[in-house]
Amino acid sequence: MNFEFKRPSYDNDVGSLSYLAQIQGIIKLCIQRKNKTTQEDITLNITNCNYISPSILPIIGSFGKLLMHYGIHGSLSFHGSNNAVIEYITQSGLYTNYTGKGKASENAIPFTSINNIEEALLQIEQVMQKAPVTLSLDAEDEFSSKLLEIFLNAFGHSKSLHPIYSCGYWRSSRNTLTFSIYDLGVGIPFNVRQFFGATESKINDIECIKQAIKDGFTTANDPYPRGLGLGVLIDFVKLNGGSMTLCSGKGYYYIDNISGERFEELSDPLLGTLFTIDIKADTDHIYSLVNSL
Amino acid sequence: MSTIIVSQVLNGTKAISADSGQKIRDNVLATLQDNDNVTVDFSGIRQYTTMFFNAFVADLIINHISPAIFDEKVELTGLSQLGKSTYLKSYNNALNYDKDNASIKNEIILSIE
Repeated sequence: MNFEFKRPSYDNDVGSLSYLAQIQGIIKLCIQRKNKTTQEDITLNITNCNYISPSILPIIGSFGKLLMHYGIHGSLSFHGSNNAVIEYITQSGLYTNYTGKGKASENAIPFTSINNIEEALLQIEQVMQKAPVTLSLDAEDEFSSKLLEIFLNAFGHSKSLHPIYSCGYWRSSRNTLTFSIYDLGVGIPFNVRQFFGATESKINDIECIKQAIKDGFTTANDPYPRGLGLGVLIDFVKLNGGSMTLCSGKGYYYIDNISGERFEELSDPLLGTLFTIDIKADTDHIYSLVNSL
Repeated sequence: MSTIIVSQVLNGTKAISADSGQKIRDNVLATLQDNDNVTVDFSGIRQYTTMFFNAFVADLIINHISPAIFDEKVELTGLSQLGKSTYLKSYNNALNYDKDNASIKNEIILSIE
């Protein structure tokens, strides 16, 4: 079976994420059909595309992993997309991850599966090594600790059998790092509703996201307070002048210093949780960040 | 006064996981049981997360000793600026901790009724 997806660009906006969630819906149907019918080859063909943001690449990268996990022979094709997109798929490490061929670019923190904190630390090490500016030790510690908070959040809450997918990209022209992690876990809305013993009709996905980002709120069962990771990241992004996107189920949250924060609703629920940040690493922003501590 | 050197206990420069936080908490508790004051020396530690301090400090003052005893008997030294800000975030959160999340649940229940 050949499925064709014709969106011209994929970014971390509501439209793109809704579309990616629809593709996941098709994958879910294929997985369900596999249990009832004989096996079919599946091709997800992303055509006519002229831009894919590093911020959503872990979602696209997870498509093939999902099919493989359920024993479905599938392929992800970019035939008909423009050359820049095809080049980026190689540069991002996605192509190498699936085929073992090619090499990610110097600016890319390659797409990879992360199974534990040790692998997360290796991924973060790559972020620091590939920075286009020399980071002071303080700035490096600050950056790496915040990236760790993201991974710890995902490990703690996803309850997933699948690994976490992650990638990043240093845009050297702007000294900006885009870094994303994506888990295929139960998602924030599920955890929040379970915590309150509420149904979807009582607390919608946007309300769940609003609750999850409140400082000190946690759905974890530890006998001591938690729930600071997201707040720490939001503070960090505000100080840095960067941006952050959090998307889970139909809930979408975005914050930056210019437009402030906004909550929106996807048309279809995204599996698991996507977390993406853009961090500025130019001298002004690094120094203002370290000095403000 | 006893001193716990975090980099030695954790064998590295990272104070990041809940397991690491629990290790330091257990060391502190063992020292306090001997009725001794304790200095926790973070010299050489570069990376910190709230999860570490939640499992170390927040657990101590919620489940084992009061915040007053913690303030009186436990001293943290050698924290970087990042370490200080991460520690304070966790400490202050613990002071305001609502064990059963009752107020949050009530707030949500009120808002959905």
